[in-house]
Amino acid sequence: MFDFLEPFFFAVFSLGIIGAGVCVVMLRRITAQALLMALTFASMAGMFLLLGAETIALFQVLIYVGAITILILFGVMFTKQDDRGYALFFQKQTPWAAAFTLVIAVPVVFLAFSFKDAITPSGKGGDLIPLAGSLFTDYAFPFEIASVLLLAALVGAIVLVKRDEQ
Amino acid sequence: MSLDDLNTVLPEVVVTATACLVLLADAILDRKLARFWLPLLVVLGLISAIFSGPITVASHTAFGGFVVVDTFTAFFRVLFCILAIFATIVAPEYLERRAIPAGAFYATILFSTVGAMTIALATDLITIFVGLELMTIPIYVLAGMARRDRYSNEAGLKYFLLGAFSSAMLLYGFAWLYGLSGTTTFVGIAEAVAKGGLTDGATLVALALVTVGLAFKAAVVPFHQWTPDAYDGAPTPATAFMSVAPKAAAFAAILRIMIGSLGPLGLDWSAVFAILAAITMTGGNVVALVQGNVKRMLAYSSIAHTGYILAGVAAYQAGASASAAVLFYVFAYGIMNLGAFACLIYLDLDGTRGASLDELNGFARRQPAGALAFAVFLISLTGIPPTIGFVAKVFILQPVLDAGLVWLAVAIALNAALAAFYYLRVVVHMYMYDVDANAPRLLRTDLLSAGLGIAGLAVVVIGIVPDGLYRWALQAAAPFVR
Repeated sequence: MFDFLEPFFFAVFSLGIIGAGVCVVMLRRITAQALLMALTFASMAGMFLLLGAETIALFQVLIYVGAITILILFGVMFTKQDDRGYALFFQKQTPWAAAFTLVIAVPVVFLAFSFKDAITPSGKGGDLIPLAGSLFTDYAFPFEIASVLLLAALVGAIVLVKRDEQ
Repeated sequence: MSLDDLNTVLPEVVVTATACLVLLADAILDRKLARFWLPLLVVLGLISAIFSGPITVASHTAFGGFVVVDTFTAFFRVLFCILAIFATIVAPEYLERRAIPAGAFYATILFSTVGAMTIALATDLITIFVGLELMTIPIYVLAGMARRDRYSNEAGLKYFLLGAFSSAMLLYGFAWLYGLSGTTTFVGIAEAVAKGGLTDGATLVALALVTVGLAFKAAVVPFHQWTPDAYDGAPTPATAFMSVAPKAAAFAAILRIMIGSLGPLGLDWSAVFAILAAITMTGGNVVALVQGNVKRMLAYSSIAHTGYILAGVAAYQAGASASAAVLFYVFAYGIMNLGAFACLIYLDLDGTRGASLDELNGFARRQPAGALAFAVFLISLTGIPPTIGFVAKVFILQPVLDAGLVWLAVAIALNAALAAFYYLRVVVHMYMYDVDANAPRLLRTDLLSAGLGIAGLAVVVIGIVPDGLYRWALQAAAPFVR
């Protein structure tokens, strides 16, 4: 009876992700860009919900929509904003970018429908305990490497923005 | 996770621990002590990392099959550690002179090395992707580390933007592969491919995205646009490292993914790789011909070398000799290209970025040892005997001919002749011209000269007796032989 609901929400979230994403690179006002980015993240969370991964969806909301967007807004407030007459990206190359995107997007969209037997999610994704279990058993090594990656990124960020000693 | 698991990845643990130790020591020691102890600590850590892992080994998995240590892994582990050691030895004088924070520089190189080593360990798409990111993100930082130099800022930012873009492409390709095969492990994907399950258009999309992503990482034409600016603008010791380690790691990933898991698809992609190889070597060489700045010229020439290595990948149907040739060339390229970039540090210490040909005039009279080392690296890059570069080209040509790609072999030979012109032009400027009036001052650089001496010696010695290294490369290629 509610079969139409899933495609409907899928369409809504897709539009949210793509539309807000396009606006982020095309708009001129940086606060609006940051908020639209939050909309992209929120729509992503919706996608995870549709896939039955509630835990990931919650993390997505907590970390991306909550923490990261707020941090970026703080960053915007702490830096001097000059009036820019242009967007962050795509000033002159908009037509090229659009053409390039179409060249990739059109075959991808058409072929996406040709998936004969798509893999169905295992159904364990939404459960916190199997998720935690696989993170600390099967995926322990990539998990540890990701933590080294965070350490390296932290060191790099400090080096690049630290004030000179003299 | 058991003790055996940790023992399997001991070299990676040692390198990570060294990075943390370096950061701590940098905070504790005063500047004079740090200048001496930090590089020593890094080199000792890397040497112990080499010896804490097996050099040749039967395939061994750990972490529930998520990590594999085989001869391939062992080969790349040693290679990455050697490259990091050389990058460390040539750096201290430059860092001091340019006021780049030394501790952070070394730690960043070490983190990148861990990432590269992870790629060689990976048995699935997730691990290899995390490894690729851990390798490249520190490199973006390295490129932008000379913060007061706007070219360095540009290099860091450009590399970061295009690197992030290419990672997204690659990851999207991985997602398609997962969707098609239902698994992220290389073995699982290879089985799905062998069963004939992956023949439709969706596979082509996955293949195209993965190829483009990896081609960006290895700087294959036409995905090379970031390379010249990033290599040219970055601090020279960083350039020396970033021109070799990420490329070696990208080829490790290409071998694991394209041959290791998509090998059975074979005919679909090897023709594309052959064409990409030909375009890459020709494009890199032609543009290198017209460069007046030696650093930029070397940047383009490193693109050309990507083409030669790619030719070996395209010829993978020739069997173990093709993969072994790729490994041997990656090793040779690593040492000679790192050395060639490092030779520019002599002129960079007091001069501008890189060096114009005029600045190199009469370099042989002013710094005989450095000029000799530079000449050896350039001759090796050209592919003239008795150097490692010559042997590497011969090993590449053999499987290319075996695979029936005669036109590609001809392209390689023609390109080598073309490249000889611009490489040897530098040698002529160093040895035949009089010293330029406003050549940059040369400062004392004992450590740099020592490092280049060792690398130059290795280039010649392995060029004369390549058997040992080739046999090792053959062993390392064994996991890809069916």
